[in-house]
Amino acid sequence: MTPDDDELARLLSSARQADLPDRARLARIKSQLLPGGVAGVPEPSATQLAAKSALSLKVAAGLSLVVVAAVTYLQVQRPPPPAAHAPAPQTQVTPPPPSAAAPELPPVPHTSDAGQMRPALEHAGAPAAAPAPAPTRVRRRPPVQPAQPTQPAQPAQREPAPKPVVSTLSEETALLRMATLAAHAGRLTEAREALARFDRTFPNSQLKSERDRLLRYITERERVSPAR
Amino acid sequence: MLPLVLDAVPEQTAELAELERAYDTYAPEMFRFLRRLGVPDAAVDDAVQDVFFVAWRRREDFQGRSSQRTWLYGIARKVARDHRRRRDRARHETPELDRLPAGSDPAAQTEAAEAARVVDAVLARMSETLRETFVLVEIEQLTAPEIVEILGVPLNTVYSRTRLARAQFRELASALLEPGSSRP
Repeated sequence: MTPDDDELARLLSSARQADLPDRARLARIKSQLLPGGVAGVPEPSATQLAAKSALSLKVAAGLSLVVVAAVTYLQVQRPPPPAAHAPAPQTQVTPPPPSAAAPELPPVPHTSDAGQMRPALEHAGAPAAAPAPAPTRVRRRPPVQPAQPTQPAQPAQREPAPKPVVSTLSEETALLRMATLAAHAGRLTEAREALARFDRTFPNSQLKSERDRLLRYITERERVSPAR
Repeated sequence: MLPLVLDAVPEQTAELAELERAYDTYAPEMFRFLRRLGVPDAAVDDAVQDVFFVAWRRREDFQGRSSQRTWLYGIARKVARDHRRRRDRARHETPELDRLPAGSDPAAQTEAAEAARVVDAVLARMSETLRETFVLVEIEQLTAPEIVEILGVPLNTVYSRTRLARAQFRELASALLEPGSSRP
């Protein structure tokens, strides 16, 4: 049986009436789009991140990685101080315990570790209220041997610096990473902005648990200290 | 979802007011258009928000050569494609809940929801190009010149696509409504 024109017209007319959202739903979308309406124009400082393109975000995340890698490399490869006033050289260097004063850099979300990332709150500055991280497999950098005190490190003997993984970072990971770095640096407003963009861009992200954990961390830090 | 922060500054209050006016005027039809183009109900709120967010970000591009309405339809069309691609990549879809359109008459609501299900089932079997054209013509009831602005194709192409889309819709609907067929 072939539907006649009238039947099709009725069908389309009825379908036209469906999916017209109710006012409450439209108002809810609007409140997310325009927080506070026109009167509630956000302050300029809160808007800079939204103006960045995806490319600039990737570049920023990549630069962060390069900086972290460079700092790590320099710290590890720094030759020991002159022997005249230096304390007795240690023959073995052990990494500081997790509770040491210098906080460890936050773990970096990595594309290949999606879903298995170490929780972003696992560092020395994390508040006690932060949830305990579940044991997970983490991509770690190769262990770095300290330079021998009596033999200045030769360039040929140096451990290769960890390669930044800029090219493998997805925008999703880069955004989350930006938020993580900003949060751990105490730039809570910036961290929230990055998270907001993450939410908008990747509503069905597989990194949602990491995002939720980071949000809890930011909230806790905001409670303890005012945002910068 | 966290509130979306627009990249506005206080000096742009007038432009924001224009965006708000556009939202109040066109959000309902953008909502319906996105749904008919296959954005699932669970994602359509975000998609609507995306449309107006993109409109805000690209407001400098709007030269007034087309109407604001057709410009928004053009954005919505691309947003719908992005959402569909994202959904296809994710390979999972939130189960659709029964849609109950706004209104106080339960019988009319049920009929409309059933009609929408049938139409969606037919549209899902159409090619993307014909589906867009059909929705713009038959659901959104835009004129051919307006569709030219939205799709960026010649007028004759719109007409030919409309003919093809109508024929395809009728054929697919016949198969779907045939007694014994598994209705959606």
